[in-house]
Amino acid sequence: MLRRRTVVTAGTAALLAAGCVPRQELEAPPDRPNVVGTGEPTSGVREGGDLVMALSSEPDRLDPTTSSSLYTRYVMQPMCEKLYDIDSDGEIVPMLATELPTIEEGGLTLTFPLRTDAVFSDGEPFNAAAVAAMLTRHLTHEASSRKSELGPVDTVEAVDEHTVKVTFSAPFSPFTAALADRAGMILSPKAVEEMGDDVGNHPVGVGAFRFVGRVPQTSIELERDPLYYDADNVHLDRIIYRIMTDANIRAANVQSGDVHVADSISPQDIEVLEAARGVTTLQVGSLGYQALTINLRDTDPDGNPTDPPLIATDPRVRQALSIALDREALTNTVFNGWYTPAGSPIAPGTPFSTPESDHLPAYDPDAARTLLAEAGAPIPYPLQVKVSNSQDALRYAQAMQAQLSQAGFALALLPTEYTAILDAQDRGDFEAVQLGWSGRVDPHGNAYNFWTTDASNNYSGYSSPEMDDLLARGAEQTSIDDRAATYGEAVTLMQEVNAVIYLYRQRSLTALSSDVTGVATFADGVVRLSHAAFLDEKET
Amino acid sequence: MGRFLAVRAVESLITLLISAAVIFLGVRALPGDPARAMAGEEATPEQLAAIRADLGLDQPLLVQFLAFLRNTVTFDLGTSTRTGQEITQMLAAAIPVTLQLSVYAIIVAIIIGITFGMYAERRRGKPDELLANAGVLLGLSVPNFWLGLLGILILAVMLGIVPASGYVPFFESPVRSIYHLTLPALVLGTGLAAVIARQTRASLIETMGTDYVRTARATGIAPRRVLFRYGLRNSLIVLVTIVGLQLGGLISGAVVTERIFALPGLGRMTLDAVFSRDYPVIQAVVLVVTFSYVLINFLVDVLYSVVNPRIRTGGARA
Repeated sequence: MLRRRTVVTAGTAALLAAGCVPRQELEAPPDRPNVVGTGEPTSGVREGGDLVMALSSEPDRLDPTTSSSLYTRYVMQPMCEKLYDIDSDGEIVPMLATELPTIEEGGLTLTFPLRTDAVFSDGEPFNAAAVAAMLTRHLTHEASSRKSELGPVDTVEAVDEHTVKVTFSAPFSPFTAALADRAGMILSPKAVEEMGDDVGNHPVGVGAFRFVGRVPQTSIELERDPLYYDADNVHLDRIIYRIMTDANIRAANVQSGDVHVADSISPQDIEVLEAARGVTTLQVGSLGYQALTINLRDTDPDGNPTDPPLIATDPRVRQALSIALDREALTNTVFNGWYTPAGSPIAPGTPFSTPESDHLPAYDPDAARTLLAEAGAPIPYPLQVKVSNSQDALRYAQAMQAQLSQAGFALALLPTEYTAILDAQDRGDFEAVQLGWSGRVDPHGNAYNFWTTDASNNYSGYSSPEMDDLLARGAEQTSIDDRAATYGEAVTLMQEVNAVIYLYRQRSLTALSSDVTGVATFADGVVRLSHAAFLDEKET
Repeated sequence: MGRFLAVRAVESLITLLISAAVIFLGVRALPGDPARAMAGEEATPEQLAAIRADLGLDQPLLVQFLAFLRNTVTFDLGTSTRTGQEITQMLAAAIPVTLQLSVYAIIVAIIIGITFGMYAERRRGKPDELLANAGVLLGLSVPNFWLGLLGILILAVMLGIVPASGYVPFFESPVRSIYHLTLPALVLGTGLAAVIARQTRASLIETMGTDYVRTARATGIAPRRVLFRYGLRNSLIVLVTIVGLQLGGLISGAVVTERIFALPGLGRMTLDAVFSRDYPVIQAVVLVVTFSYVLINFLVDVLYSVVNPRIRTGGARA
């Protein structure tokens, strides 16, 4: 297999080293509160109309069981509701279920009641049997991407017409949060039976809208579903998602009025949009993070033993790297204060955040040099970092490179295309890699797979019984406070061993034309359009 | 003529076969495979293995290649690994877009290019020739992506006279279709227009200096008629070649243009397929593009031999 070696020009590095040394005091970033929605439309909305949303990435199959694209959630939201959703505070709230689950037998049994008035868009009734069938499909379909999210489920059964009971072989608290994501989307059992895997090309769910058609790489069209249980509060005739992968182009299209809503606006464009007439913006802190993963393995990608570099064997070198980063200054400079620095996989302000999880390692370049000297590391210490070739990631990496040179690190950046970087991660073909995680509602989804021994996303190869125990406990405890405390302990340990060094947290920035209302976006980043409407021109 | 055609046809076939092999191996040399791209950030090793087995990626390369050849010959292009849609359908939707965009861009390019070229020739030695030449140089040097962004910013956002994106099929509404494609066609056609302008100018200068043009002038034919009838007409053979060659270039230029204007054409389809390592789609698109290159070259050769019979014997000897 060919290995791509892209070398960053020394010129760029020199330029940044000269220009980006944050020695002088930086202005504190402006306080940017979350703006999660335009508010529910009340009076003065126009009934009807077609809303066009520019989507930054194309969803894969529109099948909740096999989909692995996050953008599937955007398109499914209006046409395939979930058992649970999250609200503006990131708390889990009922959607197709009517209450949070009742937990019994120390977390081994979960029971939840369902809406009685919901109907699938093909006219089939929504009931416990449909939910049981879908959850079973998630657990048994051979190409399922949901299996690991649902945990050690033993049985799923319909207790009566509108009550579902799930039993586990071991307690698994993240289950409810999984049902607030793709695992909680329920398709009509009749449609699944008739179409099989093809149902992803024509999904049938419960929602304000129903699927009309899809033109590959171009658009996905939905129309109002008259069978929806809350149809009185649906205003648009149609929603058309248009795929526009380039951030500048999405911004320009909102300004020109060709699209009404656009997701994932770049911090580079947001200020221009905020100043533009006729455009409003929504912003919400993401549950995900961007981080630097260090390869600790003592084998090469083919499994042969190698002589690992000092950074893999001596935690002091990694500690030095972590405290040589002025996360706040870097994030503010590179992203104009739109993104926030991160020190852990748990987003601040969420139900699981604690002082421990919010703690940022203090910036101390002198101490970093001392640590490097103690570890017997050569100064400058060379480190090769693979970084995604997206604009944002590259700009951050270059600023980081300049800053780390102050503390005795010489970073060589290797910009690598997204799929290639995922592949390098899997195979352990990196010294350090800078990549993000989109984030999950439950902290389990942001920590367990990255830190426990031999877990699927444990790219660093880190392993310790203490971490395994903490993260297993976090998934089994049932009270939020207990769980938050456990994850706090885990974060403290993470910041000692630094196998993954957390850098910053993005904000989901959404632009919309100001004649649109009823749009909301919460911490999962999904733009909710079910109750969107155009404002009545006469009243604006 | 028959032998000439046969030789060219066999050559074309060999070209196609070689490019099929190159593209088959080329996409597999990229780091990461469709399974890796499909599973995204949250993949488990079991999931990756399941997807690979499902797509037949766990088979030996030779087996995969033979299957690919067999399917190609039987016109079975398979399904996209990413969206599960039929590639034949995807192509059927994408080709008209790129074709329409290319034809529109060529028309724009020919109109602008010939006008500029003739103007530059007529004003030879005068200051405004410099202006025309500078315009041509600018057209050649400005990259598509920048021109596209600038076009959107000025014509769509600031002036609001053309839409910034969107595509309407020609047969749904010809007027709206052309309206939506105007800006992309301008952007895509600019480079070609510059090439045509230079060629028109150069070849007009040459033609207008020939004896028969002088004779025509001497017989008192109106200068305009000399320019169009004798000058431009005889310069056209060069233009046919240029347009033929550049048509292929337009398809690659469409990759950038289609991405900027969110047009659902072949270029966009290729780019997305490469990013998601959608092997069957990349292979199919490259085959179709190679096929059209080969076909266009073949047709240009045939057209030559019609325009100039001497080429026929030359071709047959080779």
